[in-house]
Amino acid sequence: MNSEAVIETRSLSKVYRDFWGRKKVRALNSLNLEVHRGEIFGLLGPNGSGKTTTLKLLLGLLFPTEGSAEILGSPATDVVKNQRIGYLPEESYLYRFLNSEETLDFYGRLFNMPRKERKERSEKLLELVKLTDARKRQLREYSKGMTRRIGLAQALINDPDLVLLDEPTSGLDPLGTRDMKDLILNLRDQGKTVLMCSHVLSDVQDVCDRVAILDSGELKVLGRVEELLKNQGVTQIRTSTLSDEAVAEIKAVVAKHNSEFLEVDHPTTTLEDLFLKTVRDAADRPGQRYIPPSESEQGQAQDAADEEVPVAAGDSDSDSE
Amino acid sequence: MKKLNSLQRKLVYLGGIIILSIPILLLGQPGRASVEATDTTQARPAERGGKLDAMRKQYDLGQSDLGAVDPSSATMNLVLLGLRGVATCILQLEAQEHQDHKNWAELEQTTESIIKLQPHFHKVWHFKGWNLAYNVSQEWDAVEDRYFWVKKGIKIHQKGVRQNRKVPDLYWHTGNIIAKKIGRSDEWVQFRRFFMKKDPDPRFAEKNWEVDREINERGKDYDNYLMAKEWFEESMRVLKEDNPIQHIMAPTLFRSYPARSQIDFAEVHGREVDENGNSRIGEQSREAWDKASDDWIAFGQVPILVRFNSGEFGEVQLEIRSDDEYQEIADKYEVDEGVVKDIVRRYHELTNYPYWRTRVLAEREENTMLAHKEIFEGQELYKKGEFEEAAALLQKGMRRFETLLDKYPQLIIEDLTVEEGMVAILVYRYIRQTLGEPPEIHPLKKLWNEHKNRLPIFEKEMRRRMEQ
Amino acid sequence: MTFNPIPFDVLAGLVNWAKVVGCVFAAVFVIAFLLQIASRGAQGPAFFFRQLVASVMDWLTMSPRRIWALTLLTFREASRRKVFTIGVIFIVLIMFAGWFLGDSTERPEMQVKRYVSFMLTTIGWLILPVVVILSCWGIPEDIKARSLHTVVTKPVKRNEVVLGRIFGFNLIGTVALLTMGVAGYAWMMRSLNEETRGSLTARVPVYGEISWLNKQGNEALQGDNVGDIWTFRSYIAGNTKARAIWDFTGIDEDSFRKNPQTGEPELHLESTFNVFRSFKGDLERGILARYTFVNDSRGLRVSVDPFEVQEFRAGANVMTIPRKITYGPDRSLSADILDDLADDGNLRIEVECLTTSQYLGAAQSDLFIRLPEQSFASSFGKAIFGIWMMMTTAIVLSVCLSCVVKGPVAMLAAGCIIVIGKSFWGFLAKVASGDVEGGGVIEGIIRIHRHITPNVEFQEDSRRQLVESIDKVPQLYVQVSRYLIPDLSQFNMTEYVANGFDIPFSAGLLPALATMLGFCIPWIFLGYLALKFRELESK
Repeated sequence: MNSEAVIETRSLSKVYRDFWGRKKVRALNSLNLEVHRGEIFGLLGPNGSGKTTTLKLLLGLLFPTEGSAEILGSPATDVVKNQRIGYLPEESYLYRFLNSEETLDFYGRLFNMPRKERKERSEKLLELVKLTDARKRQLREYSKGMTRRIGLAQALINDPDLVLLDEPTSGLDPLGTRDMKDLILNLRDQGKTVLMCSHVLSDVQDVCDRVAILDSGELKVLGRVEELLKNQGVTQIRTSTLSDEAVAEIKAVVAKHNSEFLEVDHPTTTLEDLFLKTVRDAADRPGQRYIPPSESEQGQAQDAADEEVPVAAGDSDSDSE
Repeated sequence: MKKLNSLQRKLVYLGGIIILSIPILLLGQPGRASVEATDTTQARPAERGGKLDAMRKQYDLGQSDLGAVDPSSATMNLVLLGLRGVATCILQLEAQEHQDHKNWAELEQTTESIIKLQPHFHKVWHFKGWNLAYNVSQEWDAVEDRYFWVKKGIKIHQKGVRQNRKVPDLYWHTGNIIAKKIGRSDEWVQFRRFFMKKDPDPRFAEKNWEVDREINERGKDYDNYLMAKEWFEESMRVLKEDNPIQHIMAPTLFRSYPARSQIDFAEVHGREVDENGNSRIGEQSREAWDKASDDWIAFGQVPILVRFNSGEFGEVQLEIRSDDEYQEIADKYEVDEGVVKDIVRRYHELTNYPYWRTRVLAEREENTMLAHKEIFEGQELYKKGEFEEAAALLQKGMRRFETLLDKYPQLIIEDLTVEEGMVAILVYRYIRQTLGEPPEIHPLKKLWNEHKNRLPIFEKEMRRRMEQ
Repeated sequence: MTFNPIPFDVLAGLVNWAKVVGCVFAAVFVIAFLLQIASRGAQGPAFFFRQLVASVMDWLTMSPRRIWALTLLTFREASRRKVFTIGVIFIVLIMFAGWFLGDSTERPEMQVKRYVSFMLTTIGWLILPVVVILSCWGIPEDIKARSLHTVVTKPVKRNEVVLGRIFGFNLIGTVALLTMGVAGYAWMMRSLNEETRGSLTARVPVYGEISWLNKQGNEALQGDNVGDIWTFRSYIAGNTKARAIWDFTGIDEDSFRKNPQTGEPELHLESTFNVFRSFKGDLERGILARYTFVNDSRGLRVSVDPFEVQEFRAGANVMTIPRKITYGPDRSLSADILDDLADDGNLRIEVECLTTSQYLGAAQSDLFIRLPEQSFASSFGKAIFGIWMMMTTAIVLSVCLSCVVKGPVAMLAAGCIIVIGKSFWGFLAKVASGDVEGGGVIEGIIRIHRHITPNVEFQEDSRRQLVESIDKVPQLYVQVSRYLIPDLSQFNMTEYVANGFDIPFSAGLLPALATMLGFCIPWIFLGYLALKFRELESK
């Protein structure tokens, strides 16, 4: 994997102040984050955890109180970086009085694209997001799903290197969600980097290479998805339906020696479990980074990880007396 | 608190609306006048409206009761909601600036707007009309232009009358401008010509009107004083029938105006010449004086409501011929004759009744008319250098003048009369001097002796007249 | 006429402008610099200069296509929100305008004056609120709906956003204005009758410089004051040595017009003098005045026939003088205006009043040489252009205010500035110079309270000094803030058109243009700065 950092934040912090300059909310606290070229990075967190703030700081819509953020090698407040990024805002903040053709044309112009190129790109993107039939209708008449799709199309108008997606699947039906996920994976295959925020954890689990979980403005979890979800020290056995005797026998056999295993694997927990655990844990130990088991090879959290295992194993079919 | 659902809330609102409508209906429901039966519809009786309607009727405050409704004015007021006062103030400031900067067209337009905003403030009508007729007109140099603005001022008053049928003030002011601005200003000679003979605006000639029928409704040759008299009479009628309040002057004085206008009309014959330069004094002027005396005496017979110091109300009149009549009134109200005399004297002073009475009685006589005519014509002959004929005519006229003064000795101290007599004497003396005759011998010795200490004034006046 | 045709001095204006703008920007930069030092400490200056360079770069790398995209967007937005219903209001207004504009028995030139000034005033007042409301809400709404987020995450610079918005609103305004102008023109043509339409002209005047001689024939700063409230004109006494003298420059062959019959070149001199009578005099004759051409270097003085002044009669006081004038006893002498009387294109005309004891009033604009007329449509068009410039100024102001504050606040602020600039600028100037009757705020209050009229001086004591020094504070404030408010009356060219004049470039259009640019350029820059250094996610 190419490890060149596309996004890099150094102790990025944001404090919202009221009119008189008094501190109101510490929305983000010393965030250090790196997103590498070609990966799909998921930003998770409950409401108010600071993920939208992070995204806006990265886009230069907000100015950091402390620290800095760099995107594609230039500061986040620099307009030049926008040339190479695409942004799908949370609720598709587009102009509702334009139709989708005009919308794409408008954003194309903002990239200083000549007419011919705009036309070609629009054509292609409308097809990609399946809005070719609705191209003449004003956005105000669009359904939520269509709005998301045109939102994605405008984000891709400039064939960006980095795509920032805010809740890409919200409001989409299962089929649309599937399409969106395929699209995101497809973007990675084209060598683009994707940063997405989402509440739909299964989507994140499906497409993201790495995730970060934020809570109360602090980074709690960061790592590769498959590693985060891997349980160490547990063996999962899957068999076809067995009689009680057979189970007893296998138990006995396993106790003696290795033979006739149908499958041996490390069972994974779901991201949802991890998420809930993190958030709950953060409430118990505020201010501390939650170290998931996968990262704790030489850490002291082994106990905690061990405790997690029965929870995870308990869900598996093969768990037996 | 119990939460209401949507339907309940709506019902509560509906209830509120109905409850609030009841007083509105009671107060504001419009009434309807009765409608006569026609071929297709049945007769409908008048309907009584709400309280406001009743009050509007009681005080005659309905728009259409006040006078003609101007749709543009109504629209403007509707559009401005309650802000017409503010708008008027701003427009007034603008109007003032236009006037200072001599932007007459804009001034007039702003004036129109102000009037439209306040169509029932008679002071506004009067102020604006007066401003155009007096202040703006004198800013223009050409007499024709001045006349144009005088007419504008009059027309504003006339429009004010149309929209405020029951305000005697506006009728009176209309008449007053027609009488005084046209008849007595510096430009009276030209103005009267424009009013009676030929308006300077060629468009009236094209219409075969010659004069502006908007202000001279009776058309060519109708005198401005008579037109004014009609307006004064109208104001009197309104005062009597519709609205017993006028805000201009003492009621008795106010009532004297139609008769005064008739006097002015009669008087103007004496100072004006016709197209051929001849005096207008003659049978026609005598008849005018005759009518003036009738009018004046009639005015003197109008009862005046007074309050005696006993606290009792009573009626007196200006025309009282003898002490017996005073006594009669005193007896009627059981007060001293002196009290009545005192009150009547006050009214006489107010209206200058006795002087005008003497004047009209004197002037309606043929002798007086001839005296004026002969003196005038004698002086004209003198101007032409026909001295002997002039002297003869003057002497004749002065004799008649002497008769007049004998009959009405009060006139011997009246300025115009004195001036006329003294100038005649002076001219006569000059003629005699020129002809080599002793100048001291002339009629009107009594007048001469009374006023010869003021000779320089009359000499100046004589020179002025003779140079004309 | 109330206008003074003083050509606009571009250089002086520019210097003045540079001073004010320099001060404003210096203040902005100093404050920003100090703020950065306060918040970032030692890194402050570096950050400040980095941002300064970035700001300059923003302007150097502007993209017309992006600006046009935003312009088009703004236009589409407004038109889809049906702003053009303003046209309906306009149509309704002019449909009923006849009610308010009085009768047709009016003198033609006054009728024309009314119609033209009504039309131009209505258009001006109708377009302003619309564009101000639109432009004040544009950017704040965009921020509130967060649609601007999507835009600024594209490679769009904030100055492009500001300019795009301004151009967009301007395009809307321009369309509306053009429509109203054309409709208004057509309506006027339709509702004025044949005769009156003849008064719709655009005279092209050539103005001169005025100077004065007093009764004794000595040079004077101005003529006599006859007690007129308005000191615009001053007066010369009749039958004295008092003169009003006009010096025209640049007189050449083109200053003459061909006589339609003979084809001879002739000079058309028009005057708009006032007269003042100190006594009634001969009412049926006007006041006599006379022109004298003077060439001092050749010792020539040539008088033409006296004429009666027809006061307030627009167009009636035109004198046609053949280029070759005959004069002297029996008209035996002759002189050529251009060759003999003008001195290198400089022509001096003395005006005297010949009627004893009557006065002739004049101001600089009261005597002019008339060139061939322009069409009325062109001068009407120029007046509309004046309104357009006013509209543009209002749009720029509103958009830039809306970069700083929310819609309603921007609207209030813009509304105030426009009302002051349109109606009270002269008053403001008076307050600033301290020429207002009755003194300052405190003095005014005391005068009202104690019923002292403005012409009574206060007693000279320490209390008076105290009051005056307190009153100096608001006066000083007005003196400074006056420069930040545009004089919108510059854009009002109604008077020219209504009086049947062409709008001169140097005295009419140029100052308006300078006012527009002078205010718009710094405003745009301030608006851009405000938008650039503002977080769009304001909570």
